Amino acid sequence: MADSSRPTSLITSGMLATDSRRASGPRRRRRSWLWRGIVAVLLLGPVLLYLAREPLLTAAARALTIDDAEAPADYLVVLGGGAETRPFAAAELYRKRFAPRVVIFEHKTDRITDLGLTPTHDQLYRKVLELEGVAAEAIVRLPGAVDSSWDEARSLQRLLASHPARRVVLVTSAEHTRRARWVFRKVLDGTPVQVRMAPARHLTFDETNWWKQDEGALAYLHEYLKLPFYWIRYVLSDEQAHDASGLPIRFRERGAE
Amino acid sequence: MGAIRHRTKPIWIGCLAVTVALGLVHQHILTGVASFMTIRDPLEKADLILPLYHEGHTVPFSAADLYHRGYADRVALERTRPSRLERLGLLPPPHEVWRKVLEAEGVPAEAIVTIGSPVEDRRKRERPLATFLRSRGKSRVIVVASAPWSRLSRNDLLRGLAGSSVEVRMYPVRPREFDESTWWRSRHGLVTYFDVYYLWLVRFLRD
Repeated sequence: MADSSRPTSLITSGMLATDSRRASGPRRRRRSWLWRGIVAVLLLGPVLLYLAREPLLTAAARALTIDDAEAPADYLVVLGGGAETRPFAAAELYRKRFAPRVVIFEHKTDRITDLGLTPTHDQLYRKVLELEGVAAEAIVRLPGAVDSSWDEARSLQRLLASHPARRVVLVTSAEHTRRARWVFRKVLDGTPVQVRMAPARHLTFDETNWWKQDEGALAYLHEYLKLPFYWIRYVLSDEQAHDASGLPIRFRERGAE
Repeated sequence: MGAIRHRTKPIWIGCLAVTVALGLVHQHILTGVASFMTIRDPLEKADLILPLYHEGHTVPFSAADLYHRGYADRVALERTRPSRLERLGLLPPPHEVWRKVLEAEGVPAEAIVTIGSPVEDRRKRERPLATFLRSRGKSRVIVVASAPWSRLSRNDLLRGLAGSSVEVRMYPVRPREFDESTWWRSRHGLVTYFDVYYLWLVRFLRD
């Protein structure tokens, strides 16, 4: 039995080998086309990306900008960090009667401010707002030093707990609007307030030319790095605890801007 | 299946070994990444101390300290192009603020000089410095810069001063919130080193 089975198995294995050789031809051809395709994409891809860089980079910047401010709102909330543009944009919206009140925050000070050599963040914002036509009594300064968008959202949450509002318009740099809206909506989740965004345009660059300047490139790159960081960090730490004032917080604050 | 597993086994072992090795030495690598950006020249007596407007918390204070230690008898402050807030009179220009810091730290007013005119371009910043030193027959300047920015600053200065006899000595100052061995644990440190590496690469490609 053993002798008779040997030729059969040889014949079978020979047939299999022939079959696999037959099959390897088209497979090899397919693989060769696949490699050609990969090489073509690697060679042509960068060229096409370079040729289409302006519309692509402009689209990437526009994807970050949210501009949905609508009157009437209860508060214009000016986020910290862009004294050259943000309070000016807020003052313009105030003059257009978007809201009767402008909210500013108290920020942490540095050594030079502590020496009294430069005004504090909120003093500077107040000066700009008043210079640009905002009535002094319309400016609401929220106490408690903040250091990030999360801190600002929490500070606004405390204000709204005692002064309920239907709509707030956040004024911040264009590239920061998407992340700021996400943060404020998360923190204010469960309250009836609508969060709307008003972008403050930079003086030297916008969505169509940001990559041509160091300042613009860094501003947009920072946002694209921070967005996923925020989503991961704060979504993973969802539903954490209550803060010292007893207000429920949905996300743990970790001092990230 | 067995052959494939046999072939990929060394790759997995290699990946694991690299991961473990990186985990063990990551601190040294990250410290090296930061150290690359810090230029620290030997301190020698110079004709001028030039603090750059990097970090108000630290740089002018270190410049005042160098002055008191006798490394130079003059501190120079550069005029810069006025910002929107400065033009509106809402903020003082940086050279005025830093002059006050230096004076508050005990540097006599007559030892502080303001050089240049409001400059339009970062690349033209070195001209007033070279002109000032040349007019006084002086040649060595200690540049006080925030440590992460010291390489970029030195590159800019050397490019701008090419052909002049000015000798630049960098004196890096540790930022307040982090240093070379801890920067990756601080948000400010991460952003700072991201910025300096990005700008270093961009300028390397552009210039």
